Amino acid sequence: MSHPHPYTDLPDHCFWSRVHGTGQPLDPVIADPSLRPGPQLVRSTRIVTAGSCFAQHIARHLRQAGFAVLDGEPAHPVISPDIAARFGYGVFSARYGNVYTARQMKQLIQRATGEFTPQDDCWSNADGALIDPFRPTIEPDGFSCAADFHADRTRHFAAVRSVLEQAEVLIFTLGLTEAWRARADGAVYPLAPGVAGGTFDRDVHEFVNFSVEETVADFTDFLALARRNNPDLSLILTVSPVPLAATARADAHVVSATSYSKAVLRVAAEQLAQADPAISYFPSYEIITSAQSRGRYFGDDLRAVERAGVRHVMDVFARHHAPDAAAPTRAQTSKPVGPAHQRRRLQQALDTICDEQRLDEVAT
Amino acid sequence: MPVIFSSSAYAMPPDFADICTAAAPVLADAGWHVHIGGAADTADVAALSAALQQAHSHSQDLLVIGTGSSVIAPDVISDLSAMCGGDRQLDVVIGVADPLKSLCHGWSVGADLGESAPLERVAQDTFECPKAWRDFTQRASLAPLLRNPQVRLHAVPLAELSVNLLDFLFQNMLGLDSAVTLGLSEHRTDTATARSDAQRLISVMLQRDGGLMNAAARAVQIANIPECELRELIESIDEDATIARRDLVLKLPEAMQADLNVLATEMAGHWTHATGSPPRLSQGSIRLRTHDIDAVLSVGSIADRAADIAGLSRADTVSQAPQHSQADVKTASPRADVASKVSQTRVRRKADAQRRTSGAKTDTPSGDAGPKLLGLGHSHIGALDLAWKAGVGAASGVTYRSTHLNAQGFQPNFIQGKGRRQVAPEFRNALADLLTSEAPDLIVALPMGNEYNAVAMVPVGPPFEFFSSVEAATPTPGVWQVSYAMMRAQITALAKRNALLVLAAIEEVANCPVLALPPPPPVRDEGHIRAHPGRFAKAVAQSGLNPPDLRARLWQLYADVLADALATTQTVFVTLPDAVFELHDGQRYLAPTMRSDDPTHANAIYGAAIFQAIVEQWPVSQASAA
Repeated sequence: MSHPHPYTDLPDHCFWSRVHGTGQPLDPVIADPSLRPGPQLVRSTRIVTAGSCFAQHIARHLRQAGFAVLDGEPAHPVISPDIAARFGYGVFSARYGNVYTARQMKQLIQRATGEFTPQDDCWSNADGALIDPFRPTIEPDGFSCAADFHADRTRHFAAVRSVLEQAEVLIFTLGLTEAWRARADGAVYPLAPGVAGGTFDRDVHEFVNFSVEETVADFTDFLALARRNNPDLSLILTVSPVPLAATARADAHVVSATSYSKAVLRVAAEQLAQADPAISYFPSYEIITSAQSRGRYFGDDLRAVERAGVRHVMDVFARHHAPDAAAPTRAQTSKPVGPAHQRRRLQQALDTICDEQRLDEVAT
Repeated sequence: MPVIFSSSAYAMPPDFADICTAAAPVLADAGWHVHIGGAADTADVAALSAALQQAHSHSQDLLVIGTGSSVIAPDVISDLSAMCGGDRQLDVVIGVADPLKSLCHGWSVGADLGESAPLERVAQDTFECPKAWRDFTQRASLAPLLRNPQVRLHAVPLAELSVNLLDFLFQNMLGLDSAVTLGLSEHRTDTATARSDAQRLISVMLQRDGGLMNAAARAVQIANIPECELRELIESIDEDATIARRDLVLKLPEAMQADLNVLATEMAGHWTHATGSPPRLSQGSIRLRTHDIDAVLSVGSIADRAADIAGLSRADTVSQAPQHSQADVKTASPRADVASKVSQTRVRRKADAQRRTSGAKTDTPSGDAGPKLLGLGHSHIGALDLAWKAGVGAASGVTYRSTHLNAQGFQPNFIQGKGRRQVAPEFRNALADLLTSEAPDLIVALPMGNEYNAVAMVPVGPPFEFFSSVEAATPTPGVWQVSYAMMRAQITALAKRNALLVLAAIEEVANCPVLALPPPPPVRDEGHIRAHPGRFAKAVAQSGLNPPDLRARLWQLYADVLADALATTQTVFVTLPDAVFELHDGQRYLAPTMRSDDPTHANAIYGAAIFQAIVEQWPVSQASAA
């Protein structure tokens, strides 16, 4: 006769052996670590997306599924979509590019509302083109003149304010804890100066590795700012499963640094979700990185997330948050793909822009 | 109620459309239904056919004024013939570049055969609608019209339509004294203005066209034309490539005009003989008119003007006659950078060409023949063709032919393969075959070229502007700022899937140097575009036009993109000469005298300037020496 203990009455999903004993670990229905209910998205829900490069997948899939992902800063219609995407249009809800840290998101809204004006206004590249330090990759060759630069940034800030005021749900993917900032005023850069513009200077710039407390505080501050004009704003937080392209910590292996960084973000996300009923955590990180995936969701570089992984994430996301989305059936997931489909897959993979990869490009 | 349909061609003098437009309200007041057509293309022909059908259904008399293939296209001829019945009299006026030649070779042959026959000469001279070229030359003939007693057919040189159109209309059709008496076009229809315009035109032609290489020598050449029968004169012009048929129109001595009537009588006789009817010349079955300004554009005045340009007295020019052209052409100032770049590849390519075509090439120029220029492109190459047909370049010692890549034998140009647009293998093969058979010494390529107008011509979305880094520009309030880099990327993408694809294909199969031209700069005058919207008619009607400066900026950007892309290839980008531009507020537009009756295409004068640029930037006379 067995004695009762605290685990006796727990459901199957609490047990590793029961979750992974199905023989079909990649089935999106079975491998579903998302349990808590969160915001329910219907096609009319006004959604804003932001975050690291993994967030691009979420935005794109939701758009393709017909959801109202806001685009407050579209490209001029004279520009074709593929060109626009190269310039950061249509990737997120505004043209802010990848937002890797909570501090960056906080400062974004502060800059957009005029509450923070970094001393580092713009960079010039070798050709004299102007680079926005806080979204250095949106113009691959830089802005041709100050008029362009300032006009675009003015429009960008207006778009940021607009989408955050209109949004019903913000889906944000936390990406990094490591960042570089200006010593003078703490302005956080998405990429280290010198990687995609600007000049790195140890006297001017410093490395920072945000803690759990700092991440939670920054995101709480951001949310407070956003809710000033949009008090009903809900959040779905995710953590990017994409490992660090490089760590700035010479004393740490990139694997350990990744583990630490993701752990901090995961804890911060958990704390934020526990503290605020309007914040929901969605486990995209777990779906991709947990043992049940057997690493098959990563590409050959062990960093890029394969399309099957993204699809798994989005299938689970749809089931829990967006039942209107046409979630694929098992038959669909195993359906052979044709050349046209493969071509689209490749194109979509190439279309995902990950600024962090520039660290490798620069290093090599 | 008569119908006037004005359908103009690429070769029209620049003020033709203005005259037609000015005439329209007065003619309308006189009870005429006036339709001012656009450039001659398929849509134009269709519109003309529709106008004819409408006139026919209302039992209207008809006057068709037009030029080239739009008027004598098979469908139009068929419609005209069909409605020629009963008591209806049709006055059909057509403008062709060389009515004499047309009559000699085209109509007489058609009449002799008693059936439709190729009007190749007419087709080549009028030169529109290259897409339908083959069908047109195989089927079109004016013979059905000539055969019909209800048709009064009037053939006039192209240039005459410009300065004498209204006089012709009012005097011959309406029975009025002249257009001037009605104050219809006070600036253009009076004799003095017409004469002045014509002299200006001649000056232009002598400088940029007829006088391209050696104005003095050319003047001598003209002055030395002997007194002869008209038929002999035509033949001599055919034999002497240094004289253009355009010269014939301009320089024909008054004394020779009598021969025109003789010829016309003969022509009518040919036809009437074939049909068994007596000549009806008195009824105007054929009316052949020479240029009314011959009096002021006589051989002497042209020679004098040429002498002025050359800084010589006429006597001097005559004495230098034997030395004309070739030597001068060979000393034309080549641009060292371009020539150097091309010359580096020329020897290799010539060697490759010799290996590839050894034993197969039968039309290699003889030692006496000049370098062979081959024009390759789509519609914009037509300006060069027109210039060549007008005699430009003949004195340079080169020979020029062109092939339009939108012709049937080159379709499709592109296919969608491997996830992207690429040149069709059949297109590449046809191109290779063409170059093997033509064996040119130099290729002048002007493919596509209108793709930038996908974003330039009509507004798409909110007003926008963009500035390059060298511009100290102030954004216009309320106007969307598109970054220069993104706009450049957009234009680059358009070029890469159009002109640059074709240029790459040409370079791949070419065995000789390749020069690439940008399209003509944009027309600044919105009124001109609205009057001749061509393919943009629907879009312009719906959305209007982008501001001229934006169109000019986008054209410049497109040209820059082409130049930059070609800088890393063996193809040499040809910079357009200053002469083709109209400057306005810092932007460059197509010079008004170089427009065709079309929103984007240029005319023969533009083509002449391009020929000159080619000669300056590339030593054509030396091309065959490599």
